[in-house]
Amino acid sequence: MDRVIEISNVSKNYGSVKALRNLNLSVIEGEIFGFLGPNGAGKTTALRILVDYIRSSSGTCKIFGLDTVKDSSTIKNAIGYLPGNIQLYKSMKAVDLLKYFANLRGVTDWNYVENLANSLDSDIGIKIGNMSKGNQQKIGLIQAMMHKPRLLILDEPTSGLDPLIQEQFFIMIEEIRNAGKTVFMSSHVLSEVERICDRVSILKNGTIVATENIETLKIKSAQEFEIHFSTPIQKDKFMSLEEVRELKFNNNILKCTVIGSPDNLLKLATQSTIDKIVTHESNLETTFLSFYEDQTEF
Amino acid sequence: MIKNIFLKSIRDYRWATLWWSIGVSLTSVLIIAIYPDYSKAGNELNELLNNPAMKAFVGELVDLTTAEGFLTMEGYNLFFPVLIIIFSVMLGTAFVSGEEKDGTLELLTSTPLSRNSIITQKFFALFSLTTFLGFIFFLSISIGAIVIDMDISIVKITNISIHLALLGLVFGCLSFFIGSMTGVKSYSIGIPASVALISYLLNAFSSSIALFGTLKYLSPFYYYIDKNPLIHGFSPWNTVALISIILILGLLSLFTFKNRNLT
Repeated sequence: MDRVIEISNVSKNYGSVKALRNLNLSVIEGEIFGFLGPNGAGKTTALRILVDYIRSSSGTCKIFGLDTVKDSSTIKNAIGYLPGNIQLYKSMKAVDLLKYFANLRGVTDWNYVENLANSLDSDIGIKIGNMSKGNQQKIGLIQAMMHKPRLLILDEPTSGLDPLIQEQFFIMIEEIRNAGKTVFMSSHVLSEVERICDRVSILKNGTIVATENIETLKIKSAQEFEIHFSTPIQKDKFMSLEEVRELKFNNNILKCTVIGSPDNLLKLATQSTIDKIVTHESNLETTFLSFYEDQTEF
Repeated sequence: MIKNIFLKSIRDYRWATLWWSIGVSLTSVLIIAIYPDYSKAGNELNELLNNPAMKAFVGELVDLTTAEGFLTMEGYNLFFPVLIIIFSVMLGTAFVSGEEKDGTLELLTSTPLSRNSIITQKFFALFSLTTFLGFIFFLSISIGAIVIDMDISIVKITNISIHLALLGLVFGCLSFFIGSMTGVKSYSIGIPASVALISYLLNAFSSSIALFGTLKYLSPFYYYIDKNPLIHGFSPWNTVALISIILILGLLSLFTFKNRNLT
């Protein structure tokens, strides 16, 4: 498999602030690669370096084996890019903006552009200034995909999209991957990365703390549970469960974080009478704190 | 359909340019309209205005009873340059630092167009629109002069109009360059405005303050009006000087934009 993206020892400093520190990353052709991290981790900085919007302080980036600075124009013929917090020309109608970018990119298959718009349920006859954030995001996605690029670089692509459109977007991205193309997308939402990515890198304070196959991540990912019991429970049994962390008891309510499968916890819990179970996915930091607590200071 | 960045830039400012053109035309017509009364006042005005205190505002000593002197004092010495400089700086700011501040530059630079191509197309849009406004000045003054039968050569109006457009472009390009170098909109507006003011004063006081006599060569206003093309005809070296400044600023814009972090 060819390496589509190669980031080698890339650092980016803004004065004394180190936005990226010695970043190393490879993305393989035909995969959907997630770039995960909390806000401010350096995801956007890394993506902007890849598309040569900003320059790294040290290190090199290659796309398709070409230098992202020296061969920027050649590379951009084959990539589609969605900036984070996209800004479009608000005085233009979406259709005019898309035709403008189609001209700049040499796109001739306008039917494909219309199909993209239909798939994302986007009314491109509207002036962009009158569109909601989500609808502007759709236009951003269409312009990124309109020229059928070999590589898509997407910064927080589902931002502002409603759940139905998010699902449609995931289907489109999977189709793109199935056609042998590559997607590199940033996100701070673990569930969407789990849903579509093949591999993921976790960025924290400008450094990659882990790169994992998504299946491994799913097995080890964290969930928070809040179980309301009708009667008092035996705490010791729960404390002995290896996968349970941050266990707290308050009256008859148990709160904890589970790394991996909650099967043992639920089997134990159902031995008592349960009034209610509340569960939600841990935020990213908790998940990876749990995941890497023995390996790195996160 | 908009095919490239040059046409998009022109399209974005087509209405602004139209309104500026209407304003410039009306201003020119009003100025021309007062000339018949003005010329009748004759030498009294010359005595009043051609003294050292007024010279800073009038510039070169001119015979105000002539059409050339009248147009120089009422328009080409200060008022018309101010108008075309404001217009050109507005565009120079909008095309680079304005687009960068709006955030739309990130999407534009993700296309296969090189940074050089982007900046070159925008530069030509700035050149075209400023030159167009210079042409409107030429057109409105020429038509006005013909209508009231002013004793002035169209060739001389052409000469000063070329210099006027070039002067506007000098400061528009300065704004464009600062935007390309820094991406900061306030710098793109503020620095050219300050430089324009200082340049004007350097040239205007060059005959009364010895130091300014040397420094005037740094002033684009010197090359614009020193050998007044409206009175003395075309001055090719001054024209070359203005064009050179524009080209240097254009090349500096290319170099700085190509080699910096965008924001």
